[in-house]
Amino acid sequence: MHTRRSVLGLGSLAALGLLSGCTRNEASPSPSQSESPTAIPSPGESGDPDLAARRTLAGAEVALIAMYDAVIAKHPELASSLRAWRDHHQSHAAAILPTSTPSTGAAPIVPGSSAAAVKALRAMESELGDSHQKACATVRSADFARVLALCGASESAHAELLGRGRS
Amino acid sequence: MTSYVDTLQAALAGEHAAVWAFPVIAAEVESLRTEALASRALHRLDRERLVAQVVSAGATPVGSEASYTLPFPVTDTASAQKLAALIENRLAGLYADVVRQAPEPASRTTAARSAATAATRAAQWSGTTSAWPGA
Repeated sequence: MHTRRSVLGLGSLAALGLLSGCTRNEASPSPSQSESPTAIPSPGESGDPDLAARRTLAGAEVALIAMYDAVIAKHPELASSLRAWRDHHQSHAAAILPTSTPSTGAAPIVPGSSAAAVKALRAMESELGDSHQKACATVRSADFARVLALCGASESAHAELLGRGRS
Repeated sequence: MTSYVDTLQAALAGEHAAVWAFPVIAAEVESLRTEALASRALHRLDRERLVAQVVSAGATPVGSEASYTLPFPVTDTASAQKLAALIENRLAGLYADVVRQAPEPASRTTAARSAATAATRAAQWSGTTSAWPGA
């Protein structure tokens, strides 16, 4: 049935990039590609009006990474599902502030039960997602706004999956 | 250069495709019928919102195609979930493109919320997610 539709439907799901499955990649580059060096002045340079936001948001990413690390250390049985999401935040932090990100101070406190630890991570994901959405509206760089929207979208997905206990 | 209206129209075209595709999933995979029809209803609402945005931006909203080509056959639960997640993930990227071109904060926020909703729905379908939804 859908083979026939495929023949007829040359209108196609191209709107969603579904035909090739990867055509969007050219029009929608990953942040590392879209954010050229000129789009993100390094923190040492003056003139990036978003620098303060970049520092704050990268710091929040680092804090969440530290929490993931602490949860994984205390509840190693969660590592298989949590490690990938932790790494997503490293990717976000690198896109938000390409140079080294500030380290956090004290080690985060991890709840004793794995369920409570997951719940704490979920709350942090939701909070960071909200921060990214708010910042998205106010930053000067349009490319940076897009990066923040995608970070926020990723955090919404993490929060959803943490709430379901799935990986 | 891509304009705000162009990105809205691209997202609208994506929503048209989603409204077409979820009934296909519902028809092919009985166990996902309820979820797929609920998704169609949600995407109809998303589509109406985009139509209104395109109109208020002074353009004529793009229409839907009569039919679309599936990227792979939908024959079972796994392939249906894969298609649903793919659709939602692509929409997340399209809405992120709207964010980039949005002319003022409120329209950025609206598009960013839509991107987050799409990424969340993709995670619901697939049980997984990536660092960069929409990529």
